[in-house]
Amino acid sequence: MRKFLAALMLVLMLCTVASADDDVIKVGVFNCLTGQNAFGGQLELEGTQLAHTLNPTILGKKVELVIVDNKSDKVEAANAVTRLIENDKVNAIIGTYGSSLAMAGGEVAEKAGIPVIGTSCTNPLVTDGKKFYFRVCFIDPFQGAGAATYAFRNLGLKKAATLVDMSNDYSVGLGKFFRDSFKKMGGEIVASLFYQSGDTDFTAQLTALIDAKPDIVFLPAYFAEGAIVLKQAKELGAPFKFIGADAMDNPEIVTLGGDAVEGFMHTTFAYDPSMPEMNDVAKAFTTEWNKIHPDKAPNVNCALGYDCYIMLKDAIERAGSAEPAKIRDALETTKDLPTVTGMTTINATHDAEKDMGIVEIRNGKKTFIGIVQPEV
Amino acid sequence: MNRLRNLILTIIAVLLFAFFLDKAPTFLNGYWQRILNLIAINAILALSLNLIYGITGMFSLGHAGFMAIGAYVSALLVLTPSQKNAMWILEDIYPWLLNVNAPFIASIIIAGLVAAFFGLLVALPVLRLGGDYLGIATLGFAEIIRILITNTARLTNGSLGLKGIPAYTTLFMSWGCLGVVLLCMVCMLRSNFGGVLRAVRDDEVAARMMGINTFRVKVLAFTLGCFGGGLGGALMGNLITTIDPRMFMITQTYNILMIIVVGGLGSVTGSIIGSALVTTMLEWLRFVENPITIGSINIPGIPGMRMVIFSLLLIVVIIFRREGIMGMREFTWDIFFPKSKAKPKTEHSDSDTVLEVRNVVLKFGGLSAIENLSFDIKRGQIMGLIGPNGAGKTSAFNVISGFYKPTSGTIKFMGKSIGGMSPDEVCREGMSRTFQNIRLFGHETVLQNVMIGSRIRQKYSWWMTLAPFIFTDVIREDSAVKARAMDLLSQLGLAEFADEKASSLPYGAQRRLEIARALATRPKFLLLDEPAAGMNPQESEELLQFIRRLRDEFDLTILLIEHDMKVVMNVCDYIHVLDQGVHIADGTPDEIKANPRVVEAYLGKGAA
Repeated sequence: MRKFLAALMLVLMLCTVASADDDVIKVGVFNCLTGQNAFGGQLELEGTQLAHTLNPTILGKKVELVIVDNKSDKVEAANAVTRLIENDKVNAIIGTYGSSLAMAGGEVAEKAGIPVIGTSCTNPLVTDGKKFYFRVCFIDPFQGAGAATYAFRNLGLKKAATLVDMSNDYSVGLGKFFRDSFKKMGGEIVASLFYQSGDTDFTAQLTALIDAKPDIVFLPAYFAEGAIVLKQAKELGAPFKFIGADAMDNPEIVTLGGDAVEGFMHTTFAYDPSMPEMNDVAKAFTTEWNKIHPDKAPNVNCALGYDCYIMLKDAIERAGSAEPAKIRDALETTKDLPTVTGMTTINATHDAEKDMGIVEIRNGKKTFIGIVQPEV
Repeated sequence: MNRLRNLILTIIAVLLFAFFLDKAPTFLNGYWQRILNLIAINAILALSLNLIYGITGMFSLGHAGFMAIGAYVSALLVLTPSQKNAMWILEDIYPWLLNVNAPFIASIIIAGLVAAFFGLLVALPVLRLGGDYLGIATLGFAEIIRILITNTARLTNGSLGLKGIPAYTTLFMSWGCLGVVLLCMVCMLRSNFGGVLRAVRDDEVAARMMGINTFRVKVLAFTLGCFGGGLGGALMGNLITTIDPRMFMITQTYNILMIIVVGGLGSVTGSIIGSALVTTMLEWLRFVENPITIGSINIPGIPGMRMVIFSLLLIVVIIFRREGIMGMREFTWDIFFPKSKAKPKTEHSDSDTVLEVRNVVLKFGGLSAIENLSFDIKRGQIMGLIGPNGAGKTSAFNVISGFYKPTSGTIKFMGKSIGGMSPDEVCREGMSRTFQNIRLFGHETVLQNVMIGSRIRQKYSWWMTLAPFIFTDVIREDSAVKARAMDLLSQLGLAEFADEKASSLPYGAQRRLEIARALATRPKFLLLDEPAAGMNPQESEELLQFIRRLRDEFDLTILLIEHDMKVVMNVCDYIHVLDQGVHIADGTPDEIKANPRVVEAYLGKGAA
């Protein structure tokens, strides 16, 4: 038994000896492939891999994806990025789902001077003060303001409330920016309630919300918990509407929530397979995705993973070189780049400025109902 | 001689390692330097949890909570006011906190102290619990800490976490901290106080009878362990440069627990080997998640694969070495050199009535174990307490030695009332006992068992053991205690077993060792609970001689419970007889033999 194990270890060790190649552009991908955020990280990786399959060469050089898992853990995230930079000598990095993981990895990349493009890390602190961190997503204040704008301007609702996951930075941030923006436009916040990740009973909060009589409740939850909230709200006969954010953008929500999610709206990136008018990039992405994954519809995470690669490819081509410093400079000047999630422009804080979409569940199907310009 | 050699070897090893760290950046890339850093931090965390769990035997699952406290305290102290201003985007930071600042070294020490303070707060109520309850209570505490951090946004920035913490944790810093922790811990564990910690783990009841206030010792060990947790957390925060509450979930504690279980519960060496192994293995195994090509076979990378393999390796370790890599052993330079042996030295200890028991009643609920027991023992007497099974003899022992509080009645020892005192207090008054079912500190050597008995007669405080080279009292007193212990062992014919594990001794020797350990507390009064149990006639004959010798050589008064009538009748000056909690007779051995009530109690009514 022991001998067998020793032999096995030896074989495994020999396998690690990899060959080096100069004519290759190495792109590191660190994302949560296991652990609590794996559902998002996996989808983003598949998006990036799809973009890579469609664009296997940049500047005539072969692109090699080096994929490492960060286990949804901070220490691992920092280790993973260090490994990509020091051992695999990558030219640029794509990742990750989860802002805290991006912050842990970002510090390492910053020091080494390797550019990173974040997929869906929306916390403003991720790129704050960083020279080498960019992202293809918009940030929490923008999205919170987007939901508020849609509720106040488009729907004409004057009284709102928020139900926020206290232990989640994403949820806390969005809730705050929604309230600020809604008040600024002249609306009234009638209640601000909280729960903790992992809660399963929301009746106390929902009863308090029903008493507060809002017109709409902003629910920046993850889809699993969000679906339960919507179910319980229906059971209690809550009269108000719910609006969520991009973390609710998952096909699973209809499966989990059934008819309780009917009429639920959420903000998201300006991409959905149900969109009537897609740009060419989005069309190509949707067609190719459906070829590879005929049994599952793409969501925003897949689109964002895809867009990171597109944005990186654009930067390398404009820089005319795969040198990390040059890629960084080119990324900074990304302007009106057509991506799956709309036209992408990188602003001074390295965040993507792009349109925001609104999706509503109609007849058990995600339906793209329009684009909103947030009043920040 | 050996000491000097070992010291020199240690210094050389430390210097070599420092040289290695100094040169590391030239031949190790950033990735391996990071892993080296992580090894040192994990080792600090493992050592501190091992002190609590492996060495003192308290099952704690709260380490992640103490790490969180340490990480946050240190981070809040080293962040600059402008960084803090930029980060608190949801709620405003407390104004007083904005300008609080400290140098890094000070911040990690304060981090450890704050964690230790919280540890003390938790320990005081919680350590009254034991075993699984303690585990659950500490688990709850860690969760409370995490939720508090999440909800006190003005203080901690809530779930957003902190970022941009300066990366002060360099190789020298993390390994330097580990060096200090290791030095203090090894010194403490080698002193007699270390023996006391292990004694509490092995047998708390016996430790209390050795005069050890076990509650205090546990609180101390727990608090010290929490200091280590806070220190490790602070170093971790400064290495990762960003922290948030979700970083300190229970899985963090499991990781540390895994390290100490793999390394060996209770072994300092094991904790260090364990952290090196676990940290490097987890990273090294990453390759199994990458696509692998063996010849023409292509295996696509499977995320999570390394955790599967890692878990399998763990299972293999546990199957083949259940006690972990090191078990409870430690690394010493002596393993490279043949063994040599040391040699042992003597001394003596003073009212006429030693013990006065008056109208003692002991009830458990409705059941009375002892009813109205009264007797006196004069100095230098060997007194027997006999009676059939369930007569209340051991209950009487437990009341006298402080394990039970009498329901009513008084017990005076050397003229002082001791009714209701705890066992360790009673011991300090000069009383010691053995147990019916032997209670040795099984994992310790014979010598250590006896030395632990002497701890209450030592004057130095526990904290001096962290730096014995400064507080030389520790070394001097420990060597005096050692000499005395060797002396006791040779008087009781146990000198040849001095370095053997107590649990490996033959039965008779274990009985004598228990007596030797009791004698080490320098008692004036000794209680022996069935010393002849399990002995053959030859051995019990020797025991007779031995008990008389004990009284004469150690100037003792002895109370003994015994079933072996030959022993009782031959050694006792006076005998009291109990039956069903009631005192039925007393007298000289000859009187007792002739007493019809005694015969009736033992043999039934018809026999009398």
